[in-house]
Amino acid sequence: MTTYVVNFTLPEAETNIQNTQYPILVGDSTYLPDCTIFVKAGDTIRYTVNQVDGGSNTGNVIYQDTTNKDTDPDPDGVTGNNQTKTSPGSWEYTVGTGNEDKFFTWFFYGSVSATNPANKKYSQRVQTVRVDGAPRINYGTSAVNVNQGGSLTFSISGMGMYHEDNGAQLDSASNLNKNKLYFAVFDRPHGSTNPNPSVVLVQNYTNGGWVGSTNQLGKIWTSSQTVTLNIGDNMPTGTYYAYLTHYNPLGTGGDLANASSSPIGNPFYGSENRLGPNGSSHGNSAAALQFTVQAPTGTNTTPSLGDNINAGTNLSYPVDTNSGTITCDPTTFQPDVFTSNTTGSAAARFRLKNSNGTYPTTSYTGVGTTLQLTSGQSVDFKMTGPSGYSDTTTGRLTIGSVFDELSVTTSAAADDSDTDALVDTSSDWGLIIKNDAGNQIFGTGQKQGHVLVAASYSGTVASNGTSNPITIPGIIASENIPGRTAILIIDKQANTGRVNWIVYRTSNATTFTVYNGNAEARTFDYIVLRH
Amino acid sequence: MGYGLKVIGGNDTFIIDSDLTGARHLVVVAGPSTSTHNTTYTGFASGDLIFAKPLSGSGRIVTSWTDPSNPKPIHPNNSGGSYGYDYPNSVQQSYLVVRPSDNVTATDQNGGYGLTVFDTNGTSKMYDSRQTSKGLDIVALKGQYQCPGGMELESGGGTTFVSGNHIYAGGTLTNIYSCMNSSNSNIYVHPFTGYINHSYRGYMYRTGSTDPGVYYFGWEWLIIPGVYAQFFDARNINDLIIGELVS
Repeated sequence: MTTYVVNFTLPEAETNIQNTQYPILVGDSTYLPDCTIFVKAGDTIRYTVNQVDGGSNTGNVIYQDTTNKDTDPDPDGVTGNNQTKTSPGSWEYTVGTGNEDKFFTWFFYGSVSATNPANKKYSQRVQTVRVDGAPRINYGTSAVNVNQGGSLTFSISGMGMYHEDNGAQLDSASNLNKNKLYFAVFDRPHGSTNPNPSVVLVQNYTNGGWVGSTNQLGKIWTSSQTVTLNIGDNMPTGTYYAYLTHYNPLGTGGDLANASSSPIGNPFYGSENRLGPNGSSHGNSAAALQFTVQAPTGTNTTPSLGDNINAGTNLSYPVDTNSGTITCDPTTFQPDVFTSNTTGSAAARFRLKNSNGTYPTTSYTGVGTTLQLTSGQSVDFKMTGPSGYSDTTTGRLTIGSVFDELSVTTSAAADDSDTDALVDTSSDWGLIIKNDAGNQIFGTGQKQGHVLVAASYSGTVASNGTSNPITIPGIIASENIPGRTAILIIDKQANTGRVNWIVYRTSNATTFTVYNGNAEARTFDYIVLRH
Repeated sequence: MGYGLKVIGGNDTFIIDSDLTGARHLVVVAGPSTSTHNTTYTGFASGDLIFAKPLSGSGRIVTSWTDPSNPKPIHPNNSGGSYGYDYPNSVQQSYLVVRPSDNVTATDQNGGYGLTVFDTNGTSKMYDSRQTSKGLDIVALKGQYQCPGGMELESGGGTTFVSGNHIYAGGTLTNIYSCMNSSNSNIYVHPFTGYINHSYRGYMYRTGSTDPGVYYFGWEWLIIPGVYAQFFDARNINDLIIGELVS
């Protein structure tokens, strides 16, 4: 139960002047414009009244009972028609559950006389409204489970917000801020420490949030006593704690917030202002409405990474492919996505791709990290072939309970990739050219080099992109190996400290491509030799 | 083969083949010459190849190709640089300029006689024995990515040679030259962040009795001054060619 202390100074409002005497102390011009404060049964309300005249607290302040208005229940200790206390003076009352306690108005004035000595210069009235009701989740109080992408209904049972002057319940409208009650979701139950409970920003999750609200508060009022919470598709699984609160004008930022008022917590979802589901344990004693967010169960289509690849003698062959569109049943099912290296150092990695071609995150996720796929997305998959010859790497892409694998295999190294052992130095037949000194400079016994092409690549190659095929003139496909031809790539990038290109010779063809492993688009020169 | 000359040695050793239309013999047109740090190789023209070795016989050699028309040997008289590893402690080079035969203008370098092989157009020379008195015999090759790269920080003390980087084995390296078109030497300091990137690929000539020969080396540094420095091995992105100068 909560003790509310409203510390206020009597305004200049001459008594006995109809329509201006005893003005109502309004709790908050926006959120609580029809009374001074909301309380709950069991709460204690204390008004501390100040008479400030000539710049200092002075004289007496008087509680005035009257037959013109129903002031009951009177403050504790009041037995007659009025009670005088030295300013500042306090009057309080612990609100009960009876019908009389739903609403009460108290009148106060100060001892300082007005110009007309028959009247008093300062006066004020305060109005206390008891809020009744017990919050419900899915119309009950039991903990419930809900899937990501699902929804919950929050409501109130036995709601009361009676205002006797109006003879009716205080009400609001969807486009107004007054007289609302607020549902808020917390990540931990009340009383948790290190860390303390935090309000969950339910509206920040995909397709999540309170219906009719743009913030973290679900709002109900007398004529609209239910509100729906949509659970975001990506709201983390786990148990959450919801509470219903009334507005507190004494809280931080409220109109009555001052150094001597309390409690000063959040005016919208401070724990002191909670209504308990059992209808009697309120404030910090209020129990939470619990719900547990679960990942929806379902199935999804199987990814397809394409055929296995024979990379020939291309080492560290880069694979860049896509799974194809993955659909889920139900569509709210969000299967886990992750990669693994089944064989060798495949460096399998992935990123999610939206149906419109954009990416939630452009960078790739490696082994050990899991993301959730939304129905309609696909998965970009990369892996790397073996760094050695006659080897295989296999990468796996798992989505939900299904997967596909892709293997890259290299063939044996070309026998003559190292030529120092292959040069024929012993034959005495063929052609030999000697210089004037009589030393051989060309011919049998020496391996010669001929330039086949020296050129600049036309255009640029994007970062992590591959050039168009470049044709090596003259040779036959079997000569497109390191032991017969040499390919030299000359980086032309100024202002860089990194150089990373990879040449891929096309199997059974006389072309090659160049992969740009640098961080930006670049171009290059190239020279191809036959030797 | 309808005409021309085709000579293939034992073990399919390539010498010349008129069927390779457009092929141009590599002619040693200049050198051996001595390099000057960060100064374009004398006699170099676009399309040429540079073959080099350490002038002293051993050590590392690298070449910057950030301007492909002005390749420059990098060997500052500085073993470490500002951060201790700005440069790979590379050394002065002895180099050859090697040019495709149809770009060579010199004649009678080897007497006025010999052998000329023309391309199919009848004018472009695939080979002309009068263009040079020197030859370059290719004695070793490594295909792209075959060398793992790396090598210890020079200033760090001991030297660990990686066998996979061993391109050419031999204790006599006097006439052994390496194709520097496969090398790179890059340093970049980001103008705003101050981050520094280094990238080096080149050759190490090792003499002496323990595993002598020519090695590939390659590494990259990412440096955040005063905060972080990370060394990465860098494989050879180009085929590596080792030739022996004959004259």
